[in-house]
Amino acid sequence: MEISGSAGVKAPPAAVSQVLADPARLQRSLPGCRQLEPDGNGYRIEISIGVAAVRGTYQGTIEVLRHEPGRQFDFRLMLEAPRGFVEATVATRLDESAQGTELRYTAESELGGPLAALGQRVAAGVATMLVRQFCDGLGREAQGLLQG
Amino acid sequence: MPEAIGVAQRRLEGGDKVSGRTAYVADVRVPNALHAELVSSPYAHARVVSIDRTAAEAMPGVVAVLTADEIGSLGLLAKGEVFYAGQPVAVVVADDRRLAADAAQVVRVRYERLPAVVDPVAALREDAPAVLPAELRSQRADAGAHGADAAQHAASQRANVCGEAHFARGDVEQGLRLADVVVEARYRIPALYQGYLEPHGTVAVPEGDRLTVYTTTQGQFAVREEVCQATGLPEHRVKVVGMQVGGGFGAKFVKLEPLCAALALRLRQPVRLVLSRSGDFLTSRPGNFAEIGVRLGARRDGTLTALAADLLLDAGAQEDGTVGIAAMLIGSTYRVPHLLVDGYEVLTHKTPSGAYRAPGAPQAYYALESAMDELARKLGQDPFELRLRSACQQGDPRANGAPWPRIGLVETLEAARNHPFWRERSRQADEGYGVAAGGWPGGTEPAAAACRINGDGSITVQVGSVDITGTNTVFAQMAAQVFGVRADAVAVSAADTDAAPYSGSSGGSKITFTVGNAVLQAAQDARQQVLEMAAQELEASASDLDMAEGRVFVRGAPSRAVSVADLARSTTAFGGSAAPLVGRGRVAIKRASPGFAVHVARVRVDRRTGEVQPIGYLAVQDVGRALNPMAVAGQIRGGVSQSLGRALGEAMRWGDSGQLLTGSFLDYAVPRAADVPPIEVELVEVPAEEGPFGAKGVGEPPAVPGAAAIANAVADATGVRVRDLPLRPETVLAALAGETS
Repeated sequence: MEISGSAGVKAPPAAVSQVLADPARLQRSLPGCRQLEPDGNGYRIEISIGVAAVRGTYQGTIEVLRHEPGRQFDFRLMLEAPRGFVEATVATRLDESAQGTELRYTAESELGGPLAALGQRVAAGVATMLVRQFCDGLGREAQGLLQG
Repeated sequence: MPEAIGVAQRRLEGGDKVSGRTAYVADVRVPNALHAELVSSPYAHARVVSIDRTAAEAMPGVVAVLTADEIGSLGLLAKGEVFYAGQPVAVVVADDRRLAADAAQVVRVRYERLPAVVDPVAALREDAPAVLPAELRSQRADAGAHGADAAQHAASQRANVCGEAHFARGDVEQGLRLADVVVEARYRIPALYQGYLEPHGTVAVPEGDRLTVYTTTQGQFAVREEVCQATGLPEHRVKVVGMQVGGGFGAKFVKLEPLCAALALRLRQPVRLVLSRSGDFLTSRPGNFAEIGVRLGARRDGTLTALAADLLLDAGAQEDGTVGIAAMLIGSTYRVPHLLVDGYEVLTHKTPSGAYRAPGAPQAYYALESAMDELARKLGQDPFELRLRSACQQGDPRANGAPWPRIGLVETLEAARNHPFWRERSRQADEGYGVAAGGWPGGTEPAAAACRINGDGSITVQVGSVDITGTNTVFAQMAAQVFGVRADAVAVSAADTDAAPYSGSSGGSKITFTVGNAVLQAAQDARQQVLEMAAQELEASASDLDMAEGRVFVRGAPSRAVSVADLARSTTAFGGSAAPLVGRGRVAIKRASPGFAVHVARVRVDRRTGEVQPIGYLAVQDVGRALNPMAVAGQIRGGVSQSLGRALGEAMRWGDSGQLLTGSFLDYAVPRAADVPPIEVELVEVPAEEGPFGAKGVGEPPAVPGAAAIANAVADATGVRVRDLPLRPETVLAALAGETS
């Protein structure tokens, strides 16, 4: 499944990149993220989602594929939960905009297990919602950083 | 004397079902029962690296977390490697259902993903990796339980071929050269979920050295056999109680029972395992996906010269037996001098296929009858004319060369052609009519039955078959006919495997045909016993006596009579002088009763949306003899409704990596009442030589021709042929826009 879209972040691209490179701030930006620890070229994470058929606590990794501060943040996401798994390769572009940053993303993802059988229909919608919440979080953290 | 046969009779169990009083397996309450929950693989193909049960085992109320390492695979659990997404890898048992479900969520399974072979065409290739290791080949196959004629099998060198059927007659290339017109086309039919209302469920109860299994199954003796094979118990120590079935359609032979039995025996406590709908979808045994290529040649006058068909059926991750039936039927319906049928069934990393009402037949006839329709259009011939010219009759060779017994294909085609629904057809804009035939070879299996006359003269028939279609009602009618009473004077006891005489599974359209013959024999035996008792009482010869409405009388002198109740009372009284009245029937019918159906669909196509709306339907079927016309018509209407789902909406879909994408009724669209048009039913009665009162199997044929009838009607309405089912609006719209399907 391919998902793509864009969302606004109320902070400039350079600040957004700083948040993305800071485990504590990144964790606070991610909705439902209970744990985020550096691990090799990325992070180990635990994240809770409370929406419909994709509800559950997911554990897994974020592997950073490419990070060009202020411009680009590509990563591979692998999450597992009792109800299935999510794997996604996500390409993110950061562009300056009137309000701060326009974050554009494209993700090639795969769902597995009951999650795929039941969650397929809502997955794209949930992903869009989570991205918006993440961008709000990024904005908040970046503002904090700037005011810091 | 009241006639009981051929009379519309409401189903004995119908009132309880429609008023909610029927107890299904999920309603079985057993003291101290534990609840089992399956832990399923999210991957279609993977090695199980480790299973960490500590968190689950630590939850209060969890009794055990078990895997195939401790209890074996039992036909369900993965052992070291999973072969389809949804395959259970562990089972959690707890003293509460919700707790078991919660505990299943914290069993941590580590997998090493392996490449999944998902596409059956890719699986067929000679260089395809093997889906299953050799030690897991040659397992049970549900379609085999349908008892249809086995095909000629040949060993294939290809890794994933698990079934083959090849039939040849004449020289098909030569036959095609002789043709004036040739139709060449490929048809695809998706895998289908049977869509029953009641998900699978089983309750197993250990009692001393015995085990009782309550389950929703079409065949309680088949369950007993497999439970005994799995547990090592002898058959007389296992009692299977076949509960009322909330729909089976071929999906309910044996699935959870060996696992549930093994858990109960190991934990020495009753265990209940009832699937949720999504659990049922993930472990379902759907009807096979099929891709069928047809080359069909005819002379200008419509005489067929050649038929070549290649079939590819997807078995999923377990061997199946359906391709033989499909290949046999496609090559046996029309007389054709040059025939070549090559069928393959392949393994893939998907949920194992099973039987769905007439396994293989709807697939075969969708291809064959669509091709016949395409041929009729090319020739400019009436679709009935073309079919009647070549339709097989008694003595004509089937694909394997064996002659057909007496069949009613021609009579059924003629009845449909002469029916006002076709004869007086009228078409508005964007409307069309489609014709299709289809058949089912029928099944046989030994069966026994008993017929007891109770002390008050009432009658109890005992059988071991599971009633999924109203067969018990028909048995009551049969006994009533023999005794000259009304059907409601007869009780039918469908007993458990301890108490009941043997019966095969309710599949293959064979219960009325086989168990019915045993019931008839048992009733006649009991009647003879009554007559002999009465002969002594009336001082007459038994051959001079007759029986009606609870009385035995001398033929020609009806005042010389004795009541059956008076006779029977002396067989159940203290100090009584006569032996109890118990009739016995036991049969092993060797020849099946093939049944054919012809359907005519009328549809309207919305050219803006691509939506196909069935607006009228005629189903004609040779039933041998309609013992209960109301039940037969109900069977036919149900089969038509399922065909509409097959034609217009239903499809099991998997993603590229083998993930089931249609795991709930949100994504798997079965027809609803409002989608089903008025269905006219016409019964043809070409008696089956060995059928009770001439009856033949009626359950499967009505599910066979429908999809082709609908597709042919769409072609008639639009001039556009869609060859891949289902004919969803987007598919039809694309075809109308000129994109071929």
